[in-house]
Amino acid sequence: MDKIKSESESHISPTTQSPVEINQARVSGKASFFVESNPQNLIDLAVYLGVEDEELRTIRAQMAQRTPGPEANTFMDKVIAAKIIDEKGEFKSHRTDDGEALVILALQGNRAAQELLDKKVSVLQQKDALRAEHIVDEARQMGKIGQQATTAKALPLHELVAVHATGFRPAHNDENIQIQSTFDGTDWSDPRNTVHFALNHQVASHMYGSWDQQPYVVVSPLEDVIEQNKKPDVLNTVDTFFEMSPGTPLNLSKEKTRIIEPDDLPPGKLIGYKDNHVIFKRGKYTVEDFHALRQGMDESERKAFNSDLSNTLTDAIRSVNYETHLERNSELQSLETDVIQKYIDIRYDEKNTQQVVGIFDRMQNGSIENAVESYIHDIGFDGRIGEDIRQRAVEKIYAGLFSYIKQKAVNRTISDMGYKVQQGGMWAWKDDWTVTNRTLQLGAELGVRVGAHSDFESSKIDSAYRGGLGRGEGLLNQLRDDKVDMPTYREKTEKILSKHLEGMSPETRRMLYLRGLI
Amino acid sequence: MSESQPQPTCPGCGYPVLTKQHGPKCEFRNGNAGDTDFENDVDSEQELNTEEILESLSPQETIDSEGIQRSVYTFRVKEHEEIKTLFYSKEELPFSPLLTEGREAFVSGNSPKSAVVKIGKVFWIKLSRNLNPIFLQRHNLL
Repeated sequence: MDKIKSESESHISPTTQSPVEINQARVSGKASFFVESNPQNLIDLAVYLGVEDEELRTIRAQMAQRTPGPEANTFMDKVIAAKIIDEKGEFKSHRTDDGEALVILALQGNRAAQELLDKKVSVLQQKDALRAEHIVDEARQMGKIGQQATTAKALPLHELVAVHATGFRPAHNDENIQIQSTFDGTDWSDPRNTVHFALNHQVASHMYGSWDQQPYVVVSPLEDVIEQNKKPDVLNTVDTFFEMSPGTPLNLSKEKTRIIEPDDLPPGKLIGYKDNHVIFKRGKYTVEDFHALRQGMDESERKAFNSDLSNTLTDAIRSVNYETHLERNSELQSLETDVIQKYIDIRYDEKNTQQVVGIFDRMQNGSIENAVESYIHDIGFDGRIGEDIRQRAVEKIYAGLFSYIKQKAVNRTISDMGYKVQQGGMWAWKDDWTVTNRTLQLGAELGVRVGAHSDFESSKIDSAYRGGLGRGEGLLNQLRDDKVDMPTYREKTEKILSKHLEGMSPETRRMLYLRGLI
Repeated sequence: MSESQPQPTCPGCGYPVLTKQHGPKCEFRNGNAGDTDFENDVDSEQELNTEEILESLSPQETIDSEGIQRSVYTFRVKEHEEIKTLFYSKEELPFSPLLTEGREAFVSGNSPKSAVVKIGKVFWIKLSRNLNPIFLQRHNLL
């Protein structure tokens, strides 16, 4: 490999090939082009071949700016149709390169190519229309099931507010706050084109990912989100999502949307307002902050918070164990078990007259660091818990406080906007089946499917290509790390496509095309 | 087609009629007056077939260096001028001796930038793995 590198370095003095040189090569009859299939390059080739069409310039400019408009989307849909529809009007079972050739030929004015291309586009449009009808039918049927299962009516759309947590401060233009999909946010690299919202609450952590530490939260009335954009692809009280076309952000009207973000605040003040945004405390928390937190809690909340913070100790042991040892360390496993047992003893021994004071209560007299130290000492694990675990526990408590204060800010914002705050869950608010049945009824009214993201194509494609916790290593990562050769990669992408093409939205198809996966 | 039986050609651009193509500046390419038999050759009842239509591009099959079958198409620019073209998807830039031996080969692509670069096998190794890809300079051909 080193030899190749040195060869390449010596060869690759960055000599630019001027159009003149290219032309000379072409005229000599010995030019070959390798053309990556995306609108810009196909258009470049067409222009090079002498096609003159003003609209192509528009499309190319839109693609270059990463803002495909209707013209560019139509162009992409043509290429996609050429690539995925076979002669019988069915989805192709294998990948070929003839779609691009057909498009170029059509652009050159070949009538037969144009006619065939139009047919393929029409077939794909019909398939999309059928899919849309099927979705509405399915939503209606499920709505009836929801209606039969409860006497409660559909969730009223005007009572729902969409809550989106994100790691980046949302972009905006004069009128709208704009939420990008991950695909757009990663320069069209990570094939995930969905934008997700929890309804009337901040999304809780679940096994596939954690949004607790995402610093920014955007809250906007769902009715308004739909009006500004489109119907969601799936409605769910804990995960409503929209599949977005490449370069198309989800627009939220500035007037009706609130952004919640971390900022500096004086000691003892946890939530405030700045430039029409809600801000919450970040940075190093002080005793005054702990007091302010304590004042806002009732007794059961205080106990629960103490318990949560105490659990960070076992979490810290577990995470240090996983990260620092190739195999699970039996000594640390034993320590984890002992600490858990200690909690159980403390919580359930009603006769225990010397109840151990919780970490949160200890923080009321000093710092998080001191609270953790004294707690470990008092429960008798001083000699067994090392500095790395103590430090990890402190970090987790900071993160827990950040998340807790943020949630308070989100809940206050939801209330201030006139909506009722709901409690999250795995599949519905409080995992309540009545809520699910009411959601099904609203889904029927809107003509939108109701379910879990993991049951839908966009999630399955995401899992297959990007992987993730509990989903294995994604195919794109395997290719990047040379864990899969090109023939196997091609074979696997064909399998993924043949499984999901039929249920896929046009938006997701465009994303996969631009990512080289169609 | 034997040499003693020359192909009928379009009077405007000289393209063979069988290819159903016109040159970019041909006055007959959009069905203008005078383009009689040539433009009326698409029968709407006729079964249209990608393979047949693409025959005019003289597709050649080639196996790339990783064992994948690829198609190479020959596009005509003007009479006697042609370029061989291979389309590839992102991440899949192939190396094919058919296209590089004794020819000048150019890559248009390697997203996100549209670059036209001279290609050699060494370049291909780097480009296809997306490791610090070599962009020479962007050429917008428009």
